[in-house]
Amino acid sequence: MDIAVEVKDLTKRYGDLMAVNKVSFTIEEGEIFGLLGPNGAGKTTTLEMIEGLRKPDVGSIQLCGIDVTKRANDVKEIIGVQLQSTSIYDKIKVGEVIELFGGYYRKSRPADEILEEVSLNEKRNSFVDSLSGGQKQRLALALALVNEPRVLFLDEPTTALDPQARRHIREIIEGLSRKGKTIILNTHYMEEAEQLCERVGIMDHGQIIALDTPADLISKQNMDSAVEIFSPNGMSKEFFEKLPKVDKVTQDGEKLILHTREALPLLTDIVHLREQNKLSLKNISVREATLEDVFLELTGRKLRE
Amino acid sequence: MNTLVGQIQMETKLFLRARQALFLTLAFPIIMILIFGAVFSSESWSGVPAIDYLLPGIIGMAMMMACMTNNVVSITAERDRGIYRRLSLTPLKRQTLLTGHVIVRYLVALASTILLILIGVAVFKAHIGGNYFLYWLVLTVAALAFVTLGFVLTIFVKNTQSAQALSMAVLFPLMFLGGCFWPLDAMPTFLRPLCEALPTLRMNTALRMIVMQGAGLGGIWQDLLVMLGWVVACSAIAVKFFKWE
Repeated sequence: MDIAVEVKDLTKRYGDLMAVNKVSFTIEEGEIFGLLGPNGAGKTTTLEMIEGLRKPDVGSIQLCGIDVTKRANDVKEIIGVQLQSTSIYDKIKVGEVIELFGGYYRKSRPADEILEEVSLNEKRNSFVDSLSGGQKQRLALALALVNEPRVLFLDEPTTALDPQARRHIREIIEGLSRKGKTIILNTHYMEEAEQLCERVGIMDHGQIIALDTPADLISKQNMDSAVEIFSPNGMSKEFFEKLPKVDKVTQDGEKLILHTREALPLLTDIVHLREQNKLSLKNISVREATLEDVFLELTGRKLRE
Repeated sequence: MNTLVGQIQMETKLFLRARQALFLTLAFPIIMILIFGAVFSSESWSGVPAIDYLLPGIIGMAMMMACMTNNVVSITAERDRGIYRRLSLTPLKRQTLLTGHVIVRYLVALASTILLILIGVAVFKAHIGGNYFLYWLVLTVAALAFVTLGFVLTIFVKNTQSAQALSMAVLFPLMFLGGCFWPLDAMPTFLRPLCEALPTLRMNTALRMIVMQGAGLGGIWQDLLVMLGWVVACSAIAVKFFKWE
């Protein structure tokens, strides 16, 4: 497998803030790689350095064998970046803006083909400001595809969309992946990352604090199942941490999340404890652990905070 | 080169489709010349028909609207929306983007000027004459001064709403102190040195000298020099402080 992106010791400082601190990772060609992290974790700065928009203070970046810090312009020819949908002129037609962007590149694809790919052919003659949110987002995606890029950067492609539009975009992303595109995805939706990404890197405070497949991230944190309990009158986190079958407890407001590998026996224990001690516990539920749990555990924050 | 042509075509379309900008830059000066022309049709100022005096002034106003106001507003809006950030991720060079943008403002200013001259001559019998090349040269240097001043103003503008307000706040003094609608003699003495430093006054003076007195380069070189001074100073400030994001 060829390597699409190789980042070594990437470091960027703004004044006293280490925005990105010795970040290293590799992305293989054809992979969907998720970069997750709370706001201010350094994701955007990291991506902007890989895209050639910012120069790192220290570190090297290779993109498809090109040294990004030296040949930023060559990199722009082979990457496609989808930003938030507002970054397009209003009073321009869908077909026009695709052709305009095509003109920026040495090689570009026919507008029809791209519009077909993102199902916007019927909107070819519509003005950008008449499109729905999902259509605008698909147009933003189309603009990232005009130069047949080898590496695609998607910045929160489904944020603020309704479930149907979100599913539509995910299908397009899966289609692009099948065509062999390397995709670097930045998303606020954990289940999206879990569903789409082959590997996920979690960033916090300028560093990659975990990097693995979603399944391995979950199992490495001993997070097979999660028992969620609402404990309104202050059953403490410590109380549950002492239970033998509980591996770990995380707190999310009034909700306690007990991580365990023995969900059913633990439930039985809890029911007994409740009767013995007259605890008031509400809404007990059991589910499989998700990437969201890993994230909460590692960063102490929810992704959308 | 193809990219630049594409950029010019697109910016032209965007301009023509923005109704408010289109009204301000093209229709508003025409309404002004129709009103002023009708009101002062029988008057003569400083020994010449009022329309001959007013035509360069209204052309100056139209120039400022196309090259300065429209420039500030469109750049701020595009910057606000993140369009420049999006474009910086493509191989499009910033020089090409800016060149296209400036050429379109310039073409609009020229189109506006031609319309005003045609209306002035056809409807109000304005005189036009003198050295046409010099006339064009003065317009071009003035357009450059207003465009570069526009770039300077974008530095101080925080968002799209304040862009319109700030450019208007600059446009009105430039128009009234710059002799667009009345002669310098009508201004209080203490304001005159200030007026003489303004690009609008210099443009108006030079255009009037060319048409009314058949002035050559010898008669207007000082005006050109002052306007070029604005171009140089504003370019220097813009190059140093212009913000893309």
